[in-house]
Amino acid sequence: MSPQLIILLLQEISQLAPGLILQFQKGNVSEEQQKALFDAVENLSNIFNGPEWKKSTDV
Amino acid sequence: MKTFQAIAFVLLLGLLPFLVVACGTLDKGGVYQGDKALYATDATLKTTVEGIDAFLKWEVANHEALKTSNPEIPKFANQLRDDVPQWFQSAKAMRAAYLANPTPENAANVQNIVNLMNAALAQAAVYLSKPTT
Repeated sequence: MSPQLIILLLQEISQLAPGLILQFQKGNVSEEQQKALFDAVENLSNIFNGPEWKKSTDV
Repeated sequence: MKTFQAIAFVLLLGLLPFLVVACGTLDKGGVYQGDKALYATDATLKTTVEGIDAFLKWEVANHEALKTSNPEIPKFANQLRDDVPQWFQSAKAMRAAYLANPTPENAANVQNIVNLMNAALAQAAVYLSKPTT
C-alpha cells in the first residue's frame, strides 16, 4: 500500500475514531456529534475553494 | 494486488460510517432525530468529498511527474474538478428534499448520488496506488 493511501486511511480513521470510541463506551451518538456532522456537510462546499480544485490547463 | 488493496481501502472507507452507527443509536434530540440512514449517508458524503480532496492534493503535488508517467490521472483529476462540485450540490439538494419529505424515494435519490461519488473515489484510490514515476 502506498504512503499516500496509508495517510488517507489514517486521516479518515482519526476523524471517525471519536465516534467509534463513543459507540463502544456509551452505545450512542450524542447530539453534539450529530450537530458536528450535520454542520460539516452543510459547510463542505467550502472545500471546493481550495487550490487543488483549480483545473490544470496543461493536460 | 495494489488495485485490490485500493478497492478494499475504499470499501473500508465506505463501510466505516455504517460501522459507526450499526450497533449504536442516535440521541433522539439530535439534528438527525434518530434517522440512522441519513446520518450514515452524511458521514459517507463527508468522507467521500474529503477523500477526493486528498486525491486532488496528491495529484497537484505530483502533477509534473504524473503528466509523463500516468497522463490519464491528471485528466481524471480535472474531470473530478468539474463533476464533484456539481454532484455535491445535487446531493445537498436531494438531501434537503429528503429532510423536507423523508420518503423512500427521496432517500434513494440521495443514496444514488452518494454512490456515484463513492465510485469516483474508488477510481481515485486505484490511481493513488500507482507509482508516480
